[in-house]
Amino acid sequence: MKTNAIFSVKLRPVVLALLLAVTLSSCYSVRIVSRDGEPEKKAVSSDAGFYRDKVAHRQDTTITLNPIQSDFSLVDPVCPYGFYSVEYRVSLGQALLNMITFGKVKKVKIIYVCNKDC
Amino acid sequence: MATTTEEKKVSYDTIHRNGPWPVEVLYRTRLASRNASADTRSDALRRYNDAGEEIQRLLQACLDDPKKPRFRAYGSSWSLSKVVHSDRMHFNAPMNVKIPLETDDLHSNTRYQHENLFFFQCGNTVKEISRQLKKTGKSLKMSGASNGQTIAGAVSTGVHGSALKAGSIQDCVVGIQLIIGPKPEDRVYLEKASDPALSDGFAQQLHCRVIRNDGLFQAALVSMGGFGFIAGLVIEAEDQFLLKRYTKHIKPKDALKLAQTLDFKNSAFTIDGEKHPDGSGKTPYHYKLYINPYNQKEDYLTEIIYRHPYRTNYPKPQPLVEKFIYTDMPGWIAKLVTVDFKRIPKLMKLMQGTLFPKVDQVTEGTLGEIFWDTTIKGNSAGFAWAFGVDQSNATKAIQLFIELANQKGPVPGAIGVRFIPATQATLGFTKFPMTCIVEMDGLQWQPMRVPWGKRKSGLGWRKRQMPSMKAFEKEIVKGLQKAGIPFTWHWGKNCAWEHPGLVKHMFGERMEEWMRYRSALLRPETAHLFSNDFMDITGLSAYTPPDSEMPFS
Repeated sequence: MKTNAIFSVKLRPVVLALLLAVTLSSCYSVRIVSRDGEPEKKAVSSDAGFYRDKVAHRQDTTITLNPIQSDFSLVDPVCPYGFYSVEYRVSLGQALLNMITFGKVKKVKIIYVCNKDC
Repeated sequence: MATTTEEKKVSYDTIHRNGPWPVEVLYRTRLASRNASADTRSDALRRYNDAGEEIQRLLQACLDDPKKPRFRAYGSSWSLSKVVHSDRMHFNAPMNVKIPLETDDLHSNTRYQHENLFFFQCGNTVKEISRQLKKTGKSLKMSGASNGQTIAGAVSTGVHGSALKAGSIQDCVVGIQLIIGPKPEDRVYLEKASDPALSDGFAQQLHCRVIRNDGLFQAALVSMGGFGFIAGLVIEAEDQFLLKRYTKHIKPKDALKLAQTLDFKNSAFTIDGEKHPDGSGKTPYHYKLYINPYNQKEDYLTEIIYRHPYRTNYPKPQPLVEKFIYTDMPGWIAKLVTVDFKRIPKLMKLMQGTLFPKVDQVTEGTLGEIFWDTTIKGNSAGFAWAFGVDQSNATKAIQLFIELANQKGPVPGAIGVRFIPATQATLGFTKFPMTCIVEMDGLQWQPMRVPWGKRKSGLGWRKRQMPSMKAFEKEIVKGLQKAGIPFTWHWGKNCAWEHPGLVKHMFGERMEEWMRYRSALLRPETAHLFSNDFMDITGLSAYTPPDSEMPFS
């Protein structure tokens, strides 16, 4: 019993850290896809699933707003013919960060695919 | 100007993970920029011809290299076989010029209507083409089950659907522009002499010499890239139409009878709303069967599609939400399968909802909307087999395949059955008057290796080793040969291609005819340039001295 108690005390921070790591990094994502669009294709297939054959661009950044700013737009420099798909990912940790900072610090993780020049 | 980037010593892979295979140089050509001040047609011609010059420059570089590398173009990487793999590979998906044709571009003796002819550069995908045609109220006559193939890849490997009257995708091609080498005279435009489409004047605008020859045209249709770089294709389209798609259970007895006869008028299987006034069934546009080979007690599933006149007020058939399984799930299943392959039938039953379409669905849309996007699911490698037999042998072939899957397997895949009328292409695998295509799509597997030596049969939990994919492919080929069923195999799919004399067995004299036309069109050095390992293995790469009877040589 004593050994178990010591063990559990010693393990507690590890378990807590693991739980935090899992819950804060667990995320949900939303992807919108153009029905009639034609994605820009990769020359050599790589990755798994949806992006295997598509040229995927990734935006992974943190936007900090000042007290008088309410929202922002990310200006895309690489898709002259529009988007084929846009996926927005957010983790619990990122949502918490946004909440704690009253919406002033936003971690942005976006994966998008350009339309082919048709 | 078109620009090409080169990447050396890379690995090529298909979207289904059938590689990777080493590539000495990978080329990617980008078209010249548009000129906004020029008119659409002259700008399209300029960009198209400029890309042609760039391709010729790359071909010259290959010929100048003392190692004599071989060259092959590819687009969407949808072929599962090594049909596109070569020393130097050219990614041509960005080459997607669309040249508007004018009335004057038509040949004086043509039977085609100007409004139905369209010129597409090689890298246009089926989806792009459908979208372009829709702008003028037109449609392709048929497509495969999806829309991501580039037109040159789809035509040159014989992509098909299950359209009972329309044929395969190469059968809507009426003109082919090839680049067969680096010289000015190596830009050729091919048509049938008996069925011309475009004028010599138009071909001159593409800087091409014209060859009108029925045999050559038919040989060059399904060429697998062996006749040169397919730069552009002239497609005959038709007025837009709607397809109404039903998915239904069907009794195996009725399904096999229909497979054998395609007599929908006298079949017990009918669809409400798709009957003649006397109550007999109408012949559909498309008929496909889905079969779980490991459950002979359950009904088959059919996808049956009827053609209707186009109207604008129909609900779009594409789903608003598409759900995907976990990326890793197919990988886990593939691993599970290798550990205990006897569980495949149970797994198939569990996965039935994912493998087969939902039953009792009715959707309506244009060809491009019904045969819409395919998304790659998961991270595991896929395989696909598809062999063609004459429709009169359909039942025999389906039953043989089911028996093989049960006796030599089980293997992780579901069976599909489709039907296509005869193609005009010399090496089109839909060569029978009505070809019944028996196919299986599934997850690649590796039989588990036993590290401690040969497994004894008495261990109980696994008495028999799972056959390798290659071994199973050989079993199918041998099984069909033993049963005396003439067959062909889809060029873009997995097969025991190295099986001795396979192509000769499948195509007979057509194989030599195809090689003769190829040799007559190309020079020895360009015949080598446009060969690859796949052609060596299948025996198609051999160059024979030009036949003096062939007028274009």
